[in-house]
Amino acid sequence: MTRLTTRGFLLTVVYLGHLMVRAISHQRDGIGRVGSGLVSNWPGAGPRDAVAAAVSAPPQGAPTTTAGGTLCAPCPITLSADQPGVVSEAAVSPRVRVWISAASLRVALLLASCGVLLVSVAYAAGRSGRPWAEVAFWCGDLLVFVPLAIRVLRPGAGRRGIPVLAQAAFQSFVGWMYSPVLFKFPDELQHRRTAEDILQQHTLFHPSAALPISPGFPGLEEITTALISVTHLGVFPAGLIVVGLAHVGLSAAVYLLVKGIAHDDRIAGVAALVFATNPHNAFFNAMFLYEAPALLFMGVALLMATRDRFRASRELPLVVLSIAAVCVTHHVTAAVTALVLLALGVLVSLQGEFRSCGARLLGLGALGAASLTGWVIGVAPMTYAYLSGPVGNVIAGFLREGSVQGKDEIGASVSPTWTATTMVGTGVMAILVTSGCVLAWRRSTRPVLRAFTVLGLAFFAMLGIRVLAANGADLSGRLLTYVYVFAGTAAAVALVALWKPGRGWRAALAVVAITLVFAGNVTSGWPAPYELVPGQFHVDGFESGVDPADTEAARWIANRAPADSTVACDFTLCSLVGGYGTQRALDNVPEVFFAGAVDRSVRTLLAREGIDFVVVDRRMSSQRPVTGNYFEQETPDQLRTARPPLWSLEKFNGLRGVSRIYDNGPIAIYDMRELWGG
Amino acid sequence: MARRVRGHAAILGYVCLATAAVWFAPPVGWVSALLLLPLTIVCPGYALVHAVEGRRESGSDALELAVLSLMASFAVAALGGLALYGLGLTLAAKSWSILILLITIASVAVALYRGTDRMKAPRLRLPAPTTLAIVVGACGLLATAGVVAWSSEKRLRHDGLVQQLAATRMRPGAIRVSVRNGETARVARYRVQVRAGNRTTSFELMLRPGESWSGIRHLGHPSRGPVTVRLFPAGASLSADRKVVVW
Repeated sequence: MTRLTTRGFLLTVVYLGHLMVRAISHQRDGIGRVGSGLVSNWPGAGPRDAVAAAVSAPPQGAPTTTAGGTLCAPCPITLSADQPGVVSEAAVSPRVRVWISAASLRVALLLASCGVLLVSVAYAAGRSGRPWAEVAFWCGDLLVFVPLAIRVLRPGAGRRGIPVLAQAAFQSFVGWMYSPVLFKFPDELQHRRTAEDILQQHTLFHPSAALPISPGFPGLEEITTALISVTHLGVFPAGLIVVGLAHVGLSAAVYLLVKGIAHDDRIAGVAALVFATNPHNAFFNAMFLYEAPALLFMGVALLMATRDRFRASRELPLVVLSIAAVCVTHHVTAAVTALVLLALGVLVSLQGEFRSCGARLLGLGALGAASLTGWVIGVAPMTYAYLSGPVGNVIAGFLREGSVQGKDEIGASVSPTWTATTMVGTGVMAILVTSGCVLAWRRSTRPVLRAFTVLGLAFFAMLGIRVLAANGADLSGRLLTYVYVFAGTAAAVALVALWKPGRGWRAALAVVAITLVFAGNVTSGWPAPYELVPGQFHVDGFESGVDPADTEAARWIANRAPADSTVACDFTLCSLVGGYGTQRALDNVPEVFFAGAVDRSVRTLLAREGIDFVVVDRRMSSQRPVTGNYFEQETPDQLRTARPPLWSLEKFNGLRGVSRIYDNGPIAIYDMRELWGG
Repeated sequence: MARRVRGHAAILGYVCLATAAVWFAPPVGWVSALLLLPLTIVCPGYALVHAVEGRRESGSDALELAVLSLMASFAVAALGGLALYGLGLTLAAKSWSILILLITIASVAVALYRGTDRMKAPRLRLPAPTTLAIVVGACGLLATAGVVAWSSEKRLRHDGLVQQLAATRMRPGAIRVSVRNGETARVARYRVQVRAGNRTTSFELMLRPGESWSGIRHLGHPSRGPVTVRLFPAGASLSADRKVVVW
């Protein structure tokens, strides 16, 4: 089955690429030799007059000027700057080119919509337990991406902002379809708790047992609760609206950012598309997490800070506003924003542009660093302890050259096909980033663009983190979101240079390359392979570990147990209890569950931790967790145990003083207070 | 100038009406939610961006304006909430709406003072029939996709959803029993059996899907031993579906 799936996947990719390339070739033949005599769309790479004409895409509705100086009537559709009118006279008229551009956009949008429907069918099939669900998902996911990618990559296409926005919107929609009824991811539940606290207490900085650092960066929850308060929507729909808009806005911000620094609509569109393929963008960055609005703030800050015509009266207030907002929303994004501004300032200054641009970037970077430092010191001092672990892991990983515990071995828990797809996609991306950086330095005279592509080389540092650091897969995945803003720009430079008009095989190569990058990032990103399509229950999985039984049990205890009580549970149940209730959920007491009898050590543990309730999921006795752990920490013996036996999970039954107060089939809740005198 | 003032007045007018609705009008489900959505995620940011635009020869294009407005609206909420907290005010609907109203008024005033032109709105024209058909078709496909995903998830969450049984001791001689029917679309009859010492009582319940029942059962005399409550589908064998034990 796996071989068949692999072959089918590869054939589908190749066939789709072949169809698209043929279609595009026929279109190009129909409009004549657009490519002949065409200046490369590279600023600084061709005749000066063409370059001057290509400096900026004309605003929508404004008259466009051909290289010969002829004014054409205001066009309802803005032509891309990569064809500033330097076309052979044998080419079709601009009106027909506009029509073809619009037609290809419509076709791409329609095909992508079909892809969304196919993904939806795949999810429904997954929930019904159909074996073809995963294949259908891949077909649908590729159908959502590839037509839009071709539309953006194709020379001569206009209005690339629309397919970029559409791709981001479809991504958000697919993310919603994965879990359309409630938040399931543990981090989402943690932020849900913070939002509920604000709604109930009507104030900020209420301590959260679920994620203690979350109240210190309340931006996401403030936006959501403001929306809830005004519209009376629930937490789930309001949260979806906020992160969905932030997700789409981020893609638009990246597109505008790269367009502003490259002055090339095609590079901007491709860069935004490549950014959207980063491993965490489709799901993780579209979840109800504090990164979502923070990334939008970061994107706008960079957009305004790198403006050619930067004015203190316009760009500066918006940069300051976005920097202030990101500092109160997400710690890592704020730090990255400051670091990136500083790094850009240094790189631009080294190119001799200190006065025009470098000083401004350095100043804004210093402002960002100072703002974040002030916020952390004054309001969120726990940030240091929270981040010191992951930062320490990264440093230790590099210093010890990977000789650390807790590393995620590549390919350890996935199929060879999955690993191969990831490796190929990563390899292709590495080639694109490197070649894009070289091309930018050789052919472009724009210092900010060059600086962007240099920062894109941080992609290789992320690969190092993946391989060397403990928990490297998670860390590198999260950091790649930031790196892909720059790596995507470099890759876009390479892809645009690859697909020149008139070379069919290079067009196919460009499409295949971006598709492989996309596929590689799907396999290395989120959701994890075992829950690529929803439906199958996995004990202590992430989203797949949340089913009606444990949702109901978590809601019951959240509503019934005293607000300050302590509940012992496994990973998924604790996430739910923490998300729905104010109780302290302990997921690091595996002895309570693994012990064969309620002996003295168990009683001591219960009394020491003050455990009032124990929530037992009997399915732990029939399934090992796909994530490797039932609990936050397990001893080596516990990790080696195949599954805790059912009788050890039911050891509290019949024990004098222990009431079994809840039973919904798989899950039982025990009241321990009389046992240890709590 | 008249056109400029009209544009800003429209924004201000909407914000004033929406604020009044938040203060005085009862919510009417999704309708009021849709109508009030722009109050938080569009208006304050849109006004702010126009306040900083200033007089310039070419304004932001539509996409940039949308992104900046969204960012600024989010930033107003993120930073405005801190301002409300700092002033000792509660974060509630009324305070949020007043905050947004004040920011919008201030921004419009600054925009008028600076002479900011109203953004040239994109020329509205009817799209070609082909385009319209394709857009409608795409929307239809997305709506279908949404319905398929929603219904399959709902079916998963209710297909075979377990029944719940819970019991807590109220006082000596009485316990509260709670039952919830999580079965799929049919009314279910249950038998609840309560055993305390030598005494066993049972009663039947009829619950619709998703319905819950809760009641206090008196045990006749204070029981020192455990009280066992079992839940069976009515008419089934002696094997219990659910069992709770209360000491």
